[in-house]
Amino acid sequence: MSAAVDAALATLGADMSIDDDDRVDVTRVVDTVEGLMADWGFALNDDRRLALAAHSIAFTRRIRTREQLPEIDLDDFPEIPEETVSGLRLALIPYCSARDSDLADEEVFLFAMHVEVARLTP
Amino acid sequence: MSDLNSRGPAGPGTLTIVVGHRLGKGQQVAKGIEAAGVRVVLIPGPAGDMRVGDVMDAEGADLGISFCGSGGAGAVTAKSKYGYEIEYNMRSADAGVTAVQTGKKVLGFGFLDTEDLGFRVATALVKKQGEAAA
Repeated sequence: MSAAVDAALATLGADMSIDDDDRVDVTRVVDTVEGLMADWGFALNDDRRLALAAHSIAFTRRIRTREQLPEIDLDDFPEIPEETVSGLRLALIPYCSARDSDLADEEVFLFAMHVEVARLTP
Repeated sequence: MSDLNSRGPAGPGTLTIVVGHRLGKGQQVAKGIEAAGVRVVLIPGPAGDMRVGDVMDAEGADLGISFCGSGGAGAVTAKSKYGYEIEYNMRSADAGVTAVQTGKKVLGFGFLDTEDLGFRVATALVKKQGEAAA
């Protein structure tokens, strides 16, 4: 999976000023999410991986800088299967904990939307 | 594209802006765009930001606006697939106006949804188009 993430990061590099820390962190996050999706029986296409990588760059930078998303009413999120939300939360907590950071519900839900879009559009 | 919500003037020469919001919002932005006399195509439902590039291409749109944490996911996908010039991680209408003035075609914002943003970005687009025609 990392080769595919490398390709996505290469595409994003010019616009998102990606450094080595970004590369390592984003690869870890995207590989984690893709691993979960593989367990659930589906995969990202190149477009969906690019969108997830772009989102992951913003996420990893927020974790690093402790920036928080603006307050979002969780009721605004569409209905997402609890298995998706809890699976992502469990998978991403170690990444955040290693950086002394909490994992906000909003961040989990945003990842969950990427997963659900990928599930519906193979 | 029968699920799209298209409002405003139509016909040759009409400017078109596509709006997509991760949480299925964007209605206020669309109102503002319409108030500026520009046709708006609002992508309904969640994850609309990720479809902005595709819908822009299908509609022959002049501008796309993507709303998410940074707006980046929708904007970079649009650039990668269609080559649009982009600006993202914007958090104000002023930033959007500047992006339009500098020729950007897909704008990425955080979770905003205001009439003012739609009106000002659309007005900037109209002005830029007028300058190009002169």
